Amino acid sequence: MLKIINLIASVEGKTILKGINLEIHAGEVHAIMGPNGSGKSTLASVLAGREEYEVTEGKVEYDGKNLLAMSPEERAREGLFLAFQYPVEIPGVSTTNFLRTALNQIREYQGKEAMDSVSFLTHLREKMKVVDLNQSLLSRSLNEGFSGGEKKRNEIFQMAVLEPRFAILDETDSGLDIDALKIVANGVNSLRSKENAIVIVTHYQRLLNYITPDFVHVLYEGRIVKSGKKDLALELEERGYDWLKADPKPVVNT
Amino acid sequence: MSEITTVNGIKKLPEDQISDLYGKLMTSLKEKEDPEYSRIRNIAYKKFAETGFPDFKHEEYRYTHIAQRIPQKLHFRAAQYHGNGRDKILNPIPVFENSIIIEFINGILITSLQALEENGEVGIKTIEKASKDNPDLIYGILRQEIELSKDPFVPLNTAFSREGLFIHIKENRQPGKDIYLIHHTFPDSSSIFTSNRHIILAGRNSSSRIAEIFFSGDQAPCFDIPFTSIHMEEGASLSYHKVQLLGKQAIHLNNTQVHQKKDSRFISFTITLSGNMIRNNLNIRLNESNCESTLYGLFYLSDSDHADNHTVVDHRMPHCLSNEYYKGILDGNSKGVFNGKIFVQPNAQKTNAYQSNKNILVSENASINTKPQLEIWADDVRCTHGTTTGKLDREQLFYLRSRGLSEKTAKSLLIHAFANDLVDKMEMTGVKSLVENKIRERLEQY
Repeated sequence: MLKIINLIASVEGKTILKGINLEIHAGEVHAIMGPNGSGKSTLASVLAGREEYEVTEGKVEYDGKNLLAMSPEERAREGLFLAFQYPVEIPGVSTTNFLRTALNQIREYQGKEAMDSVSFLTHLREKMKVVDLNQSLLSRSLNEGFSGGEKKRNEIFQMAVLEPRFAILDETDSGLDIDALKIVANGVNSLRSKENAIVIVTHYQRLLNYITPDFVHVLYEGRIVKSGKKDLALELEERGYDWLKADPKPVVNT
Repeated sequence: MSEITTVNGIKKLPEDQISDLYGKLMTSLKEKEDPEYSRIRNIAYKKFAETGFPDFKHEEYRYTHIAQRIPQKLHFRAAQYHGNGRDKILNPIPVFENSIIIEFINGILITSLQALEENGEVGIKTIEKASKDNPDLIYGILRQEIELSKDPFVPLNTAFSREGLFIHIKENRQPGKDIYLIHHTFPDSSSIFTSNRHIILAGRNSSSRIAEIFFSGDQAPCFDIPFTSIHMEEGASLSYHKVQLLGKQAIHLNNTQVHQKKDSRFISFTITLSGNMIRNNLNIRLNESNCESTLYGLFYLSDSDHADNHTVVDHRMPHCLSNEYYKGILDGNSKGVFNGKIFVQPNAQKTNAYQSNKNILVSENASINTKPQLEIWADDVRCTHGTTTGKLDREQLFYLRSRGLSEKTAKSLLIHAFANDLVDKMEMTGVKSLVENKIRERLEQY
């Protein structure tokens, strides 16, 4: 589904990703872990199409298409979704109105009919249950004045509404209390299917107690230095990252 | 003196043109007008002639160079577009329900005031008629405003004033109907000069809503210098909306002077959506204690539009509150100017004065000059001011696009949100929906 080949990317002249190789198939959940500053968020940003990041080498194939040539909105319309580490507040734009416009522009691109307001509201209500989102948040401006936890839940809610095929969760677990963490995990699990793939970018192992990944990768200094199954996450929890830092041997995964 | 403009090889100072025009006007009014009114015109004209048109060295007009833009061959014109032609022109203008609507075409009043002159809640008559009924009041106001004025277009307006209205909201009344003054200017082959002078008197403890809407066509230049003075008695409350939807050759220099007495509450909305060169002077004098004044403004410019908002809030007595909030959206090659002065006089203890101006530059070629000016002579006051100017937020744009919105949609959603913050506060539903629709039309073009 997604194939990253020798991806090298920089921001403000500084090379952050130094040759990432990763292949993700439909139906899989991958966790990307690593210490701060290792390039995890950069990888998520490059995949979503953030302009500040310059790809200097390598390529990313998404369903055989050149992902890096697509605009952020094209990626979204092709079924890619990024849950932001720091969701942006947008005063004056209501969540409902924004999501309906987004969903309909995605549907139009995919050759589907636009959703009328009645079926859209039904769709919204159904998805609200997934993340236990309060109705009142929907009529408010997008993320404005939301607590940290509410913002993260709103990300997962948007993901549920837009029904992407490929989702990247950038540190969605950070700043969440245990209850919110469970709700977010439930939201993600309900989206898991044979057709979809999910990448979870995280610093801690704790979210992986609720979402079982098929593969775990350790990113360090812009490279994937170790890949394994879910046991790797537990090992990292126990031993930290230092033993990998000492001997960063690039390992091409799966 | 202003710069010389050249048209067809003939050099002519704009002041000379004005002088010719004034001579013609006075000849035409001879023996038709109350001599007292003519005397006031002469005082006004003299005051204007002392300075002439402001040039670029004039401190208040540093960024708004009027003199070069005064159209040549200005004319006063008769009202046109009656009958079928008029309907065609006015068709796109929305219907304001349950309202008193008074229309002007090319500066000429076309609505009959017969039923409006003496109604129990509000009296609306021409200044001419009002000055016959109550000369002391009307002439007193006309003279006082010339004397107080610092802007040359106030005396120029009065010198050339025609077809103005005197709107009197009666004591303790709250008219159920909103009042709309709609000014249409439709220049065809030659330039049109209009100079309406309105007086609004908000009686004690009255409460009312009045809008002035200015439309003009693109075909030829127009030169509008309207002036409205607003006099608020004790405990009066007035919501005043001004909307400018002007042609691409329209020069529109607008003065609004507000005087507030004890316990009065004034709120204004100044919305500029198009025009070649627009200047809005809004001056508030808080003459007694416990007044409240709110000034909202929005300018959304494109092409080579130029809009300049100069406001003065003069706190002269204690315990008054003023709150000013102006927002600008600048696209194309447009230029904006915001200058907000707040004076807190020595007597005005316990003043609360707030001012904020926020601007978005949508295009690389647009620009804004913004300047807050506070002069505080009292020591027990609370004043804040702030201004921000920036592009559309990159993070917000990326967030919206990453959810599948096109760049255009994301952009227009953000501009809409920025504008709506102010539009939402508008108190007259008719004006509000007019402004909402015009903004929506503009956003659809992205």
